[in-house]
Amino acid sequence: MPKKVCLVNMKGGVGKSTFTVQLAWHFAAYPNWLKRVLVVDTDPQFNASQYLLGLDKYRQLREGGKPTLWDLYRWPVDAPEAVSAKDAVVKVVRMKNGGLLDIIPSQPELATALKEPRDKESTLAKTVKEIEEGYDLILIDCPPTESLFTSSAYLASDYALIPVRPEFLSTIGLPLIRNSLDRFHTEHPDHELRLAGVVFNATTNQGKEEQTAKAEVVDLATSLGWYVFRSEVKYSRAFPNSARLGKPLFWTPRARENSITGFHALADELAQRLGI
Amino acid sequence: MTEQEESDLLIDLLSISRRYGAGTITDLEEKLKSRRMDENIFRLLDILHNKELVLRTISRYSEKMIEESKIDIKLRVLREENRALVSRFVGDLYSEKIFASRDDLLAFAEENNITLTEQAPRRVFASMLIDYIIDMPEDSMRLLIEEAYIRAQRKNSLANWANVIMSK
Repeated sequence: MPKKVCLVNMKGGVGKSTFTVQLAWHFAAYPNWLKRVLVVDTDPQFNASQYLLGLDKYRQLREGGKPTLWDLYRWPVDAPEAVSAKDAVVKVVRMKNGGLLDIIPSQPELATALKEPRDKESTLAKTVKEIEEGYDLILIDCPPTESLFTSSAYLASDYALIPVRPEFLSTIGLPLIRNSLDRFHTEHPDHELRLAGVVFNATTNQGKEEQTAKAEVVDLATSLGWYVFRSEVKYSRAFPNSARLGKPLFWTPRARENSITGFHALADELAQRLGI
Repeated sequence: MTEQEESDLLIDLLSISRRYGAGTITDLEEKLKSRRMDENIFRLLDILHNKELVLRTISRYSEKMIEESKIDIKLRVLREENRALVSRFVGDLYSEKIFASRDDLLAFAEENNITLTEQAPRRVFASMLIDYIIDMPEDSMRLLIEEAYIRAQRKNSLANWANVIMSK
């Protein structure tokens, strides 16, 4: 059974998609791991899809009529137009020693699924269940506001992972997540969704505001019984570069060694938490 | 002021207006708002009456001016690096940029073992706090003011927002 993790924060711009993709690359392609990893992009902004597929491949797939997550949401299973989860999976990379990275991409029209959310909450869980045997790790990138996609992602996951930038407004997403998780647990008491923890993303270790924000997050997380990762994702200009190149940090030219090793430490800590 | 006193005052003002010209009253109104005129009036009244009487009769604005005058004296003896901090703090406190509510001000005072009268309005608390602060040794004064700003920032904290958001 794969580990299924949704990456969530009720605040945009905290780096969820970049973090999701970097984690996916790390576990799929870094020599120590070589796992079979699937990314599911549930954000109509489709940044994870843009990152992993790049412009040409994405356009080619769309023009070729390749289904996306939208097609899985828009048609009921028994509709003649219904597509299977396997049809929507796109291969990103295959490593020689067994690691692989796939994605179920998103598209902007996915947002229209929100207009008629009835009976669609379990769509993602069914999709994931259909294909999960082929993977060791499934990462679900969530949009930054609570919606059908958030509860769908919770329902399809075993763990929620919360990236947070150590900035005041970014941290305010945390109590919103707590409310969101509480509502989900009330509505789905049989589904066990554990919190993998809170990860500081894009840290600089400079300035009083960052220190204050970190201390506040640690205090709140402690009071809620949430784990805060010891390792952090340090800010690096190599992250946007790697997104443009469509590569992981560790294959990005001029990425600093300490940024790469810092990210690996974080990924290792997550693996330990998840039992990978 | 009684109706008779008000009537007498208007007659006096008319007499001033005749003597110095029609725009004199407007000019005087402008001048009365100036700090210098305010201080001059205070000194004049102080000569005529005792200080308690003056404090009861002068305006709320004048009260503030007196307090600021005391601060000015203190400011002159402060080290340069502390002068700007104290001036800013006094300004922020009176303009309610810091501790905008009476409760915030009281809580800060309590945290720092400063005794303030519980029944007084915020304006009086602010004056009492400034009186307390300007009597402190300079380094302690700086620490307390810095603490005040830190506390003011803490109000817009994750913990406070979490209480608001999660209590719904």
